[in-house]
Amino acid sequence: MPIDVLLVDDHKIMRDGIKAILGRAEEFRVIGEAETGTDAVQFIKTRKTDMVLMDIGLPGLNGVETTAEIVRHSPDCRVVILSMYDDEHSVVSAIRSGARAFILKRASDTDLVDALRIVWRGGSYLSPQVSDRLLARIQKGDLESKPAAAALEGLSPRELQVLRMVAEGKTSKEIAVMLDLREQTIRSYRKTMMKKLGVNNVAGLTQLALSTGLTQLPRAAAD
Amino acid sequence: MKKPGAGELREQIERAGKSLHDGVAPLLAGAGLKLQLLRMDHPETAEQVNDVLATLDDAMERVRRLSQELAPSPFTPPSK
Repeated sequence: MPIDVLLVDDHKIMRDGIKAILGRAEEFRVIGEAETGTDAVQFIKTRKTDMVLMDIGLPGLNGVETTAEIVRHSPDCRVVILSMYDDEHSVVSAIRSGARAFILKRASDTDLVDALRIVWRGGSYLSPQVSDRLLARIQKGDLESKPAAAALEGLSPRELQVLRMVAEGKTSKEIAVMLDLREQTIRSYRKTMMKKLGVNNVAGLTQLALSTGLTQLPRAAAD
Repeated sequence: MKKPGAGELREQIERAGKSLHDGVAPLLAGAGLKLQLLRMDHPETAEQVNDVLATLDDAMERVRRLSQELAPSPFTPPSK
């Protein structure tokens, strides 16, 4: 039986290229394409999907947030992140969101099909350029977790997602639309997070999100 | 012409970085995928295609470095 794959990328040229390459590998079947994270989540809710190839840099709901949503709805669905970014923050965010692989977009020989096969067999995969860099950082001791981040360890992936959006100034209504949830549910998340984090208002949540590096001020505002 | 302020200049620089990342790099990657398909369908072109792919990959790596320098990934925590 073929492995059903959803492609999520806002660039058609990438979707077309990947689709054609997967078309050469017998075991994969592209059953859908999405340009946005919201469309991808909707697709997953309506059709059983074995794997998702996800661009990390989607506009709106980004690839990491979309991955967290997909994994929450379909824990068996395996998400593979495709990224132009190769910094460890992107890699760590992607893996924490539930992705099984992080593949760097390159022009030359892609490890795409091999990576998909590994992930389908239950494994994980990082592009060599990414894993080499991470190993070097770990060897230097640069990847130790920061004490401030410990405050967020008690939050679920969904709560972290909402916290980031709150800290970015989005209203409960806006967050509800982006995550396809009821506004009341978002309000409930806010209350639970405040209780867990010991803060009393949105300013406290924002401060925590900033100090732990979960989000950052827009550059102009940070000046 | 009025000179841009520091904040405006930073915004322009970030916009340039994002444009490289979101606009130019995917085109290079997409072109690379198409070349890989060409090589699969016409193995006799492999040598020439590999040459072009290497050049394209070099260009992509430069674009990646420059774009990350101008506009860090959205997952990068703020510098202290």
